[in-house]
Formats: sequence, structure tokens, C-alpha cells
Amino acid sequence: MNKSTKVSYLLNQPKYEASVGRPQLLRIEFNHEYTKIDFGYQTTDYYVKGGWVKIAPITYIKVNTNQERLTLTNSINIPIAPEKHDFETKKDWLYFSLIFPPIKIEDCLMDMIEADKGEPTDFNYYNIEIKKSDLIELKK
Amino acid sequence: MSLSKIPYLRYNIIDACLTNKMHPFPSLEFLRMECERKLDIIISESSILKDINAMKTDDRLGFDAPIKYSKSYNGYYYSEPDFSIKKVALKESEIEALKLAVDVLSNFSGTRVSENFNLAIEKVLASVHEQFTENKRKIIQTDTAPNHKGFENFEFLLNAANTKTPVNFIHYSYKKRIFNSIIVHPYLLKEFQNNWYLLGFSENHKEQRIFGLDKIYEPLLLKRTFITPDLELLNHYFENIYGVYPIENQSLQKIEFIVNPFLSDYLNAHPIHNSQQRIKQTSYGHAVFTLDLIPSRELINFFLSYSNQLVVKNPSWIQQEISKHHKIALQYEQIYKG
Repeated sequence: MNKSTKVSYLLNQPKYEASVGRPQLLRIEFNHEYTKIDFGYQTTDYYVKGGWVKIAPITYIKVNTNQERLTLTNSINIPIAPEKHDFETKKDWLYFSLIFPPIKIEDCLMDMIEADKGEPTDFNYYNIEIKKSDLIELKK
Repeated sequence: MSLSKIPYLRYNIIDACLTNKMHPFPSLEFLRMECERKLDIIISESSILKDINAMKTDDRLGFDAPIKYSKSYNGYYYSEPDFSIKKVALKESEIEALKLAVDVLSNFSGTRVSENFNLAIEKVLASVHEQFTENKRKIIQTDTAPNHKGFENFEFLLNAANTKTPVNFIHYSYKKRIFNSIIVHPYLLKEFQNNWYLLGFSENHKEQRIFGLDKIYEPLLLKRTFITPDLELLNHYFENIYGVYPIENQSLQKIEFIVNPFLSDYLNAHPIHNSQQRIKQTSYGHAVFTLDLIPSRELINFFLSYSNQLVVKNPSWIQQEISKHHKIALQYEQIYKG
């Protein structure tokens, strides 16, 4: 069956707040089935071999118009903790995606939280600005 | 899309999940969701189970995929870690079908199709003839690009350019080491030395840009008004460039270089550009060549690759650029010698 009623939207390069050195939030795809957030990350000189990366299974998104926590349903190209991906060099890079349940599409601010009251190394993103006027409809 | 194509797309998605080392042991639900997400159709778990069974046992497919289920991880995996259906060779019947298709294509080769298409057909013909040589000895070998990244998006981007549909994709610059999410109005796909590139108008850069397909991830089609190119400019874009990446702020100019006798013969046999001319030759065989080009990164690389056989005379900035690269090469040599 074709899901012809499904409309997907892209939010390109949204504005957000995050600690320095966190993966770069590149784009978000919204539709009635999921919310997919794409990230890019380059390792730094901080760790000898670039360190490691993983995402906590309790990671959630939450919009300011509705306090419901929507927990991570899937990840692409990044292991869900306790599994982790070890980088090999200080010059590695990784493109990965996190998938959450769908949200209502409206003007709002969204947080993506890996750990409440977390450390600066946690993947916490605040006030991701979602404006309906910035969304671009995706073509099937 | 033809219905018969859909199962193959699902097999490819399942194969990609099973070979993804970042997400081992994908569950049935995960496989179903991935197929739904990528194909944008509703798929049941029973369909995925049938697909897995077909990949394992269907003789017509011929995959013989060693798919196993892990109770402890609640997911599927290949019991042969290096297995992928992409590595399964063509079956005899498929080769026969390909031979027939090549026969049909070869009838069209000649005056009715472009030079590039002729070259492509020649390659296919050569490969097929090579496969059917009676003594099975490899007697023809065409140039192949080993596992180039990004080629999986070729058809998608070709279709986008053909239907004048803007695209968004994630781009990673090896040089700057930065990610970007870019919106491009795709105009054409260009091949240079076995690498493919997309030329289009980038909304991010507000100008025409070229992107290597190997740096493009997960392109999406956008419902957005297409920015039409200036056809005159587009059709001549690569005419005065050797390669694909023109050097910023450089215009069309005469480039003069001296080569040794060996390279002189080679360049006469294999000119690198239509504008190439040999303007002088000594009695010892050394020669002066000129090119009328917009200098490009690839041109600099060409000069560097033959730098023990040529010297660039003009313009001087190219001489300096090459000297700079030589100095860097010496520094690296010192560093790596340790």
C-alpha cells in the first residue's frame, strides 16, 4: 500500500544551543511516522585515538508546547549504549542519525536530551528552533 | 517503479542492514522500518520474513545468503562476516541476458548516441567478450574504479537533474573537515578519471558549485522551485577546464610548459585538452607545449605527477604553487622518515 497521505518536511541547518565540541546538528526530517535528526562529527585532538561515541537508549526529544518525552526508537551509524564505536584517529569523522517518534509540526522549540543534568560531553541540544515557515516539503 | 524491482530494493536494504557493523543484529522490526523508511511504502513483517527466506534459499536469486537469527541479540546476522549479496557473481542465465542486451545496445552504438555512450558500450562489450573467451584467460581488462563511495546515489541524482528537482544532502569536505547540509539545484553529472561529480546551483553558497559524489550522503528530493541554469554557460562550463575544480579567481589563460622527449611523445599521443599545442621542439626532443585553460586543481596535480619530466614556464604563480608542493613533500618525507 502506498503511503500517499504522508507528507515529510525538512528543516535544514536549524538554530540550536549545545556545548562546544558536540556533534553538529545538520538537519531534521519530520513526518507522521518519525522524527529523524542527522548529525556530523569530527574527532578532535582531545583523545589519543579520537575517543569513542555511543548514544544512550534513554535519549529523548521534547517540545516546549508539550512536555511529553519522546524516547529514541532507532539509531543509524551510531551504536546504542552500552555498545560503542571506537574511533581510530584524531582525524576520523562520522555521519549518524537518531530516530524518534513523530512530533506535531508547529512553531516551537525542541530539546534533544541524552542525559538530564548531563555532562558537557553528553549529546544535549537545547532550543532547536522549529518554524513552519522554514520547513521544506520533501518530494516522494 | 516496476513491481518486480521492489523486492530487489528490499533485498539491498536488508543486505545493507546486515552488513552495517555500526548496528549489528538488526531485529525484524528494524528491518521492516528501514525498508518502509527508504521505500516509502507500508511493509509487513511477514514480507520481510519472506524476503529473508528468499535471500537464503531462492535458486532463481542465487544469493544463498547465510542469514542466521541470534536469540541472544534478538536479531539477524550473516554467519559469514564478509558476505554481501553485492558480491554475488552473475549467474549463467543473467550473463546470457546481458549478452543479448549488449547485442541490442551495440546496434545503437555509432552515429546515434553520444561519444560517452559509445565508450560505455565498448567497455560492456569488452567485458562480455572477455568473459566468454573459450580459454578463460583474461585478455581484456578495462579500467574499473574499486568500490568508489557515493556511486549508490548516482541514479538518484541523475533522476533529480533530469526532472529538475532540487535536492538536499549531507556533504563532508575532506579538506576543510566540516559537515554541511546543502540544498542544490542539480544540473549535470560529470565524470573525470573514474570519479563522478554533481554540478548544480548551491543555495548555501549562492553560486554554481561542484560536489564529488563520494562526499554526498543521503540525498532527499525537495518540493521547491527549480533554479534554471543559463544553458549557454552550463554547456560550456567544462570546455576550458582540465578536471572539475577550477581554481578560484583564475580566468582562461595560456599555460606554457617544457617537457622531456619521453613526455613530449606521450602528450602527442594523449593530449590532455583540445587546446594543447606543441609550439617548439629542440633537436634533442625537448618540447614546449601550451594549453589555453582555466587552471584547476587537477591541472596542478597533473603537473605535479610529471614534475620530474616537465617545468612550467608560465604563468609564474603555477611554478610557485608547484615549488610549494615540492617543499611540503620534502617536509613530509622528513616527518615520516622520523
